[in-house]
Parts: sequence; structure tokens; C-alpha cells
Amino acid sequence: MNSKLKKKLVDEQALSAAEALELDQALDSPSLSRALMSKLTDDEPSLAWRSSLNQSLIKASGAKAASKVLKWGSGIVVTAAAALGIIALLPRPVVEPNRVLVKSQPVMSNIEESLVSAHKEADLESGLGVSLSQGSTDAPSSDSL
Amino acid sequence: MDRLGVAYLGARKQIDLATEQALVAQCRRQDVQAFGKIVDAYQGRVLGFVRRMLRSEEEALDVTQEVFIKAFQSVARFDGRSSLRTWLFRIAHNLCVDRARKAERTPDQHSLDAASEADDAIEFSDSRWSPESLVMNDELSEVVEQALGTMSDKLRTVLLLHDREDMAYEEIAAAVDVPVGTVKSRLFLARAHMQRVVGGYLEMDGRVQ
Repeated sequence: MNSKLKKKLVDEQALSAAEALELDQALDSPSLSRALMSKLTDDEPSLAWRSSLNQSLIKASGAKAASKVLKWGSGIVVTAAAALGIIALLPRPVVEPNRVLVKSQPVMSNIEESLVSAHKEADLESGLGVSLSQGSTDAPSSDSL
Repeated sequence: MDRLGVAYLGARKQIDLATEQALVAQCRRQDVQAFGKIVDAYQGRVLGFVRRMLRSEEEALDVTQEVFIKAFQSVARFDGRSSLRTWLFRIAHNLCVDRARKAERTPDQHSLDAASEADDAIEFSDSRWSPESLVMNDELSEVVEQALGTMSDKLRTVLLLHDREDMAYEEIAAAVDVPVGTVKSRLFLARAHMQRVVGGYLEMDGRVQ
């Protein structure tokens, strides 16, 4: 490999097509590094390390779930509050029970009264032979005295 | 392959793609047990990478935990465009870089200077080196670790991901966020450095003529 290419590699400069090819060929050839690296052993963390990691993961999982619940919870509260606000602001239909009663009562009482009075009149007329308009029969007349 | 879809290729665990996708889907629902299977498959490899990047056992254990916690917390954002392995090593690489910055250590503190790296850029192709012909003992292992330790972070990252983790150039480029051409340049320089340090030791040791 020529010194110009070496300098380009160190300086991380763009390579020409020929230089790139030369580099590819060099990298594809057998290397001590690759042979050595494949022989290195993997690290194996301790059980205590793994246990500590598990606890952190559970904590992270719980924190995420809690934040989700908090997010949902606060969302529900806000929605409910907004709904209540809207309901409070809506114009309510005026319910006037007295007026309804007042309106219906005279009708009812008129009918009742007329029925009752008609019944009484009929009863008196048929039973005593005296019309109510002629006065009461309980009071003694001056003629009978 | 066991019933969990975890294969043991050589001494290393590897999850097949279908199992990986199923596990990721479970992890998105915050399934700690499913994520545990991912940890089982990758903990040793991620720890090995992080330890060689930071060279402090204690710090490496902390950062490796951080890698998996971060991965678990952000698994919903994993879009599957890269492999899970590439994604995990990207997180690991980023955290190592962050640690180096926090420790006010320049990324290349342990590196050789540019001139020295240029000197390293020798021909490293050598058919004498094959995995079969090399017997890794504690002493050789130590020399290899030293060679890694005297390499710049950027070269070491690429070397570990390519020659150790068998990642493709494109995967490394995605993990480290550099162009593919830069990955190749760095790999060349890293191998040249390894050749110089370890090759010299092997020749002195009489393992090769």
C-alpha cells in the first residue's frame, strides 16, 4: 500500500475507486486480528449483577405502567371535569311543577265541584223534595211556630 | 436451538430473526421476562464490548446495565430497520462515548497519535494467521487486550464490532454513525496496529517463523 493511500486512511479522506478496491482486497485477506478476536472469551456477568438488572427492569416497567395509569387517570378526571363544566353551562329546561299543578287543578276541581254539586242537588231534590235553592229544611219556619 | 429460539453458535448465543421479532413485540408491552431472554443472549457480548471500550470492570458493569435499561425503556421506538444486535451495540457505543466525555477524558486519550497510526498502516495480510493455528492462552490474551488498549477508541470500536462481533460494514456504520468507507479505513488501521503489536509478540515468542 502506498503512502498516499495510508495518509488518506488516517485522515479519513474519500478514496478513489481504485484505492477503494485496494482497501477492500486488503480487508478481505486473512488477518491476524480476526483470528485473535475470535479466540477471545466472552465476559459473563455475575448472578448478582443480573439480579440487580432485573430489579431495575421491573422498576422501569412499573414506572412506565404507573405513568400510563397516571396519564389515563388524569385524562379521565380532566374529561369528567370538562363534561361537568359543559353540562353546567348548558341552558336547562325550566321545570315549573306549580304552574302545571295550577293549570291542571282548576280543571280537575271544576269537574269535581260540578259533579259533586250536581250529585248533591240531585240527591236532595229526590230525597227531600226540596231544592237547595229554596233553603234549608232544618231551620224552623215562623209559620210552624 | 432451544425452545426459546436461542441458538448457541460456537460458544455464543444468537437469537433467530423470528424469535427476535416476537420478543421485541412482547417487550413493547413491557414484558420483563421476554426482555430477559434478550439480556441472556447479549449480556456477555455487550459487557465484553463495553469493558474493552472503558477498561474499568466496575464502570463496564454499570454501563452494561444502563444499556439494557435504556433499551428496555425505548424498545417501543425500535423500528426493526437494523437488527436488535446492531441497535444494542449502538446504545452501548453511545453510552461509552458519553462516559468518556463525562470523565473529561478525550476519546483518544489512550490512542496513538496520528503519525504513529500512519506508521501502523502496514500490510497486515498474512496467511500464517488462522484461527486454527492460534492457541489463545492467558499471556496471548493479555497481549491482545493490551493491543486493544493502546488503540484509539474509534479504531477499537470498529475492530471489536467487525472482527469480534462479526458485524457487517453497513451495520457498524449504522451503529457508530459514520460512512461505510470510514468504517473500512478504521478497520484497516486497527488491524495494522494489532498486527504490529501481537504479530511482534508471536514472532518473538517463536510461534511463527
